[in-house]
Amino acid sequence: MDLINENLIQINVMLKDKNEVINELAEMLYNDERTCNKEGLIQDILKREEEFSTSMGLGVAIPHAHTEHVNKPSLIFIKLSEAISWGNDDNVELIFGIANPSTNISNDHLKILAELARKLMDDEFRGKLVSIEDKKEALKIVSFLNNCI
Amino acid sequence: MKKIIGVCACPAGIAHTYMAAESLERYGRKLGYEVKIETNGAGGVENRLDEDDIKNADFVIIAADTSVETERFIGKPLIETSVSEAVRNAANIFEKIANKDVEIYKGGR
Repeated sequence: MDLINENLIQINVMLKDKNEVINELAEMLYNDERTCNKEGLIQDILKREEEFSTSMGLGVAIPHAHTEHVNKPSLIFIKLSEAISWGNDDNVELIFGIANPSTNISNDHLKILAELARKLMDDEFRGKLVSIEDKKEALKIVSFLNNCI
Repeated sequence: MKKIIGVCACPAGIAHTYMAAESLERYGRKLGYEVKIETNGAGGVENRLDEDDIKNADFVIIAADTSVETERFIGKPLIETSVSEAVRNAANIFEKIANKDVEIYKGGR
């Protein structure tokens, strides 16, 4: 039961704003049979965004939800072809989406967030992310997060 | 070796808190300081500073967007800043330390 696979990765995709990104997240989770309620999932992610923007200030946003609308802990990675505005950061290019089932009381999404947040401060890691060219490479770079669950 | 301690706290959850802590730890160590940062995030308090940490510290950095217990740092040179400043601009914070542009904390905030 992997946290992330190639179906949950998109590289150099064009999405014009935050809402398009979040819709795309839900679509990808649906296509990988991790949600059967895209709308419910979108609402849960947007609700979290309203409480506090998940833009991290380094070109990275981490939209996430602890939600009944996914069936397993899931991570999505999207690298945009053009940076967009997201909350207080107008230059977001890298998106990590995290969805954890609400039936999972172990707070896996928090563990993933914590691990990812620390790793994002590593210049070398961020450098690798922005130069990713394909899904296979992306999977290799983010697979360490599988160890969080 | 000079010892720097700090507290990072953000009401928005845990990611910013850890990023700020990581940023201060990395930058401080790069400059040759011993660094210990306590995090107060949605996951509770981690890496809590104990009495010895505080006693032996040369400088204290508070990077918080919410209130943290600061009475324990009375008498210490202390810098207050925001979480985002710690994430984006750790260099500025450590420049103040290098220039000793830091006031002794007197409490009563």
